[in-house]
Amino acid sequence: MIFTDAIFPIFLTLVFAAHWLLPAKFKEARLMVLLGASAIFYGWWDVRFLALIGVVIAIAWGAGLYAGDKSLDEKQRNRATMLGVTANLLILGVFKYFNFFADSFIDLLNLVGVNANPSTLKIILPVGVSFYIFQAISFIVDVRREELAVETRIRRVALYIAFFPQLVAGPIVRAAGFFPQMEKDRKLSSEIMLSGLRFFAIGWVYKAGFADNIAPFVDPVFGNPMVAGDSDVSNWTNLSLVGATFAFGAQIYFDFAGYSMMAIGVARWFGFFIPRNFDFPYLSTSIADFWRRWHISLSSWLRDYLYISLGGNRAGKLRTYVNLFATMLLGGLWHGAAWTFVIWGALHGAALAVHRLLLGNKKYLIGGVLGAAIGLVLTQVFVIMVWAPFRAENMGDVLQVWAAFTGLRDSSEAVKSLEWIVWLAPLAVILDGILGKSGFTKLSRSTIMRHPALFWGACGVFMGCALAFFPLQAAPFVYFQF
Amino acid sequence: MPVILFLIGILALGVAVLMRAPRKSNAFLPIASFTGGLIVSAICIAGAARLFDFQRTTDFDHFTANSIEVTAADDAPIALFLGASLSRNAIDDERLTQLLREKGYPHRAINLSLEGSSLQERNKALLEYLKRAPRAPDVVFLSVVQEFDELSAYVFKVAKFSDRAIDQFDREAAEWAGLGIVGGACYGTIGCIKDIVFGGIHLTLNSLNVGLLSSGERFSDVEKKPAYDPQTKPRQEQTLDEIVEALDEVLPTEATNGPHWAMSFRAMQRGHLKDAGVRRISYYAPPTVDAGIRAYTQNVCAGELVKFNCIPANDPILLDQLKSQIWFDPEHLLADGAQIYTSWLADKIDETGALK
Repeated sequence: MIFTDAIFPIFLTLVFAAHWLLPAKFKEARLMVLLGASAIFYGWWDVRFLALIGVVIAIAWGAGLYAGDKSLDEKQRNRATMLGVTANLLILGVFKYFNFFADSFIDLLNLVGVNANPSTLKIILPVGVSFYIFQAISFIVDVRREELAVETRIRRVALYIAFFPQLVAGPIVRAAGFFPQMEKDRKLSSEIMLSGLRFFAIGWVYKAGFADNIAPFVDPVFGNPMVAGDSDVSNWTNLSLVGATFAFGAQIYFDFAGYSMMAIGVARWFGFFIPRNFDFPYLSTSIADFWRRWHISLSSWLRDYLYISLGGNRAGKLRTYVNLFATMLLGGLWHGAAWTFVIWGALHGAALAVHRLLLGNKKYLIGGVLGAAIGLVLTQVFVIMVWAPFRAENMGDVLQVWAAFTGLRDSSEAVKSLEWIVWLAPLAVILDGILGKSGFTKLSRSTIMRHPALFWGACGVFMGCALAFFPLQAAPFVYFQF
Repeated sequence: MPVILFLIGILALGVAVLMRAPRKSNAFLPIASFTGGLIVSAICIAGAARLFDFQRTTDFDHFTANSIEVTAADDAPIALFLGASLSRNAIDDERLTQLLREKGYPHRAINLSLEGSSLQERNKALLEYLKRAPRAPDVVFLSVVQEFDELSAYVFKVAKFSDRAIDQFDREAAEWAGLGIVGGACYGTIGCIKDIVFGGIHLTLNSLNVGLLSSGERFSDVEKKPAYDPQTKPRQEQTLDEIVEALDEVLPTEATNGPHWAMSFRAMQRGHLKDAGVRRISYYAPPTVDAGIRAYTQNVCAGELVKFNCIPANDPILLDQLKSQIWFDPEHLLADGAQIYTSWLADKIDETGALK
């Protein structure tokens, strides 16, 4: 089940009614309604997935009990933390990376002349496993760091890890931020309903209005994401490859930010506040700024649980660069079990390291509006170009795309070209930034916009647009594969 | 992304960004404002879709687009066959063209048929063809099959809540379905109630453009596909004895009229065709194993449609040739059967002077 499925409004209505119709004093029962709904939501894909998430929950809960037990000594608590984190990473490794490493190992053997062709154990990738494993790790580590009290009630740990609005594609919610919300008295109010509606509406437009309609321009160039090995990049003109890469930059933003906004909106309808996951990343003026705006929950998770654990910037300049690089490399691998993702992460890691290096040498920096403009252009061109390995099927395709960007590719025999309207995709991103960051948002806070007739009229207009965009066959979200 | 999607997407995004908690008011104002906004946006989106030639794409559109291309590519007069699955499986239009030309007719036959298509859906495809084709067909052959006459909301039998059902159930189609239901063109009381409920829902979904932008495209972008769909393996086993016994049964002709709504519908359709410059209109039905279904067309041809050229498939010569394992199921022919029927149809067209 996904947010744009026809079944989802029915599911949501039932869960909403069951949750809020329970008297406020039955706080725990309300949480159980959400837990049950989360199980149904996740089991809708495949009931077997429930067993895996059950194991992840049990490990996190058990490890948390020991990691936070102050009667134990530090070593024992550290050992429990390590065990819990390692077990979760092992699960992630088996379900997400086993096939990748096994296939890569066989390729390597074949490369050195050893004929190896064993049938790899094909393991299915459970939806959202990367997201909830990271949440489980966040719980264990937060308990160990004593940012969170030990939680003895496994049902609460289960709800934190499996909370359906953000279960399958984030945002990755921190345990220290979520558990206190379970404790407090959540009340239904018009404020949370309307703010949830606003988030959901924006997310809906992102996904159904933009992302799903940009995909038909990207998929023919880079290949159908569901069919491996069907890309035909070489047939397309240079301008088409550049256009398709820009369009993919727009698609993945609208798709993922759309899901995040909808998740925030749905969570808010149940009284939970989930932090924003995107903050107009294509307006960023440096690569570090980009990662403060793009997939914020992942980048901050990587910073707090990986980069800092590796030593962060506390062990000298060189080590800082290495840590930045390693963190992004692993961040790339987190996105998918393929070398293209590793390269994507490595390039971002290298860019962050270079940016850090330049920051240390102020003479290379240009300030003011000009500096910001140059930074904006350079950052976005880099980000867009580096989407190529994220989306392309293989490095051969990536090299062709990069050659198209630089004009080094001869496309005189290319027979296919995209229509000019593909450029409406990046234009939509620009307009989204203008709507979100200009005085337009101030207009929404003005007295006139709070007039009931205008507000409800606008809701009617939005509903008319949303129905026209309503997908009778919902397209999956891009980030579900991660 | 198509311009219309971009424009409406930006509009929706702007509206969503502006949404903030309103001041309190009585209940009437929100309801009236919401409904007003919804209706205005629905009308504007429908208008914009027309302006940009943007529409839901159904299977029929693929066939219509192909038919238009075939028409444009050939100066010959067109003989258009409009039907449902029986026709889609039974009329090999390439072969029929060849046979007609061997008999001295310059016509190009075009099969424009889709399985499970109601009279309304077929008419929508026909009007689309007439609107976009470079010239009107010389002759149009319209299929008359019992089940479609007897169910004015046939679409709900095959494709509820699909793009196809929502697309065809516009105000005009709903009126025809309503006329049919009032006259009993539905199966039983519960069936009639279901049709009324589904009709209301689909008309609403159509009026509110549900799914129009998510699944639509410009007509010029629609992939072109020929309708003729030869089948090679039966989907329902029948013994030869069963087939022979059923085909031997030829019921006597009793001149009759179709249901009132279907008669009116056909009269309306003939008006459209005449206005479009179609020279002649004929009726036909491909063969079925079931004698009752064959007899229906024969009876309507002898009654309601007696003034028109009409070719029911109840000719013993044809039925004798069909007495073998050439049936996809009791109502549809396999490719071998289609060849037999197509040859017979060419002879019959010649014999009845349908193209003269």
